[in-house]
Amino acid sequence: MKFYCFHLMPYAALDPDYDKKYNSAWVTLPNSYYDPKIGHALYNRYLDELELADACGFDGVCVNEHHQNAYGLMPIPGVMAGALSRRTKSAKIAVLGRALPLLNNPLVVAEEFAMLDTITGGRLVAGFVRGIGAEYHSWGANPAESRGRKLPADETRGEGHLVRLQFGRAAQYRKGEDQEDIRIPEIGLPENQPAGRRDRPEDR
Amino acid sequence: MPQETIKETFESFNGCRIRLMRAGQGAPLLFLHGGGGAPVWLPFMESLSQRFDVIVPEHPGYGASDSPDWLDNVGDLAYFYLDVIDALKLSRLHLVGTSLGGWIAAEIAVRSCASLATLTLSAAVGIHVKGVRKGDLFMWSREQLVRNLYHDQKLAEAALAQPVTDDAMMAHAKNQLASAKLGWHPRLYNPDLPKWLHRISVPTLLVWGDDDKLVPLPHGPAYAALIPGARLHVIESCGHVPHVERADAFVTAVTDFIGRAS
Repeated sequence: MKFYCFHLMPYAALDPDYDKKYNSAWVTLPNSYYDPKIGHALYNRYLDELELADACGFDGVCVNEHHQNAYGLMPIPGVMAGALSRRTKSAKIAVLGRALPLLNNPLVVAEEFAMLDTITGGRLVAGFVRGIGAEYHSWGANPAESRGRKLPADETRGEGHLVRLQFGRAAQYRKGEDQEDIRIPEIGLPENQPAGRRDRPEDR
Repeated sequence: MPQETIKETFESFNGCRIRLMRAGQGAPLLFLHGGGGAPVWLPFMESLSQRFDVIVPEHPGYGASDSPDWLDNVGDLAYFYLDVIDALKLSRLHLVGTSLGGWIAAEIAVRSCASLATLTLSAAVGIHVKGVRKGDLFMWSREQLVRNLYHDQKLAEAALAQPVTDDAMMAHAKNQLASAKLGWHPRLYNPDLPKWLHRISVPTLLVWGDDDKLVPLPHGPAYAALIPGARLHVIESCGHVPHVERADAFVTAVTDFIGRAS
């Protein structure tokens, strides 16, 4: 049994009666509801809480990705993971997860994860999602291509570097384009092995 | 409507099976439907079939037609229909498209006008007019969509009062998926199309409702300015579906235009 502390980082100051004027807290909620001064305080409070979770002995802390909504303020979870990577000492940092189908070039996630994993000495847990429907409105990504851009989770287990495999396949959203067609730079390859925390040297 | 005179068939073209409705005699007229599909024979089709051999396919990806693996963009549909035109041996064809079907028709015509006699684009998407926002059919609820299709809200209310069957819901989901594939981003237009509309070499009519909330009226003159000799016919007190909301005015505009052009 492992214990992870998962933060969604909501916009806690949302007016309770917002739903009387707007039909959703996602996508169409106007920016006028957002006060960046409150956002500044909330971000720092939430990071403090995750750092405290590390100090308290949680096995890991979790961040995630959602766009243009009051439910979670982490469109780029890697920024939060980067902020946590230095101030936390032993907790895994789980990014649950990056929505690869939204991206035109998933290489950016491979680079981001490789950096996070290297800075933390292998504490990164890399997660990947398709993203819920609202993200496709926020991001302008085509939901009709979503399935084709996302690798089924089962295929990620067993071989190769997780990130390398994941982003190589994720780039296959162009029909007829093989994994071999995607140039994978040999920089900053992550320390993690797929599906195998137990496979890491310190876990053996 | 004399439904018994309408021939409804399924035909395969290059391995893609599509549903076709066909009725009438005269010069061939191919009608390309919009994002809502073409599930039923509509009064304007019946009117046109008094003078023309009216052919109404359901696009690949829509309604009862196949959703082929090769379908990625509107250009694919343009080439598909050029193959259909060849396979059905249609010549001196009057090509009429509305909304998404208008976009497909324009993409067909820039590729080849060899089999066409005339082109009619009604409330067509396919181009972007700077500073003019289209409505967003993907963000709208069903009620918003239906209301925004019509100028006359009594028609919208009548449409909304119709019970929604499971089959209709499934067809709507299938059609929306296909429309998203073709037009999610950029939203319902091809940035390259304006570069090639000058290639259209047949008489062209643009039909627009003056109160089109999905593809606002300025798209009509913008298309007209890009297609040599094209004329714009505006139908008053009419929304995005002139062929439904003002069927008589739509049929008159099309038949008068074809009569003058032929």
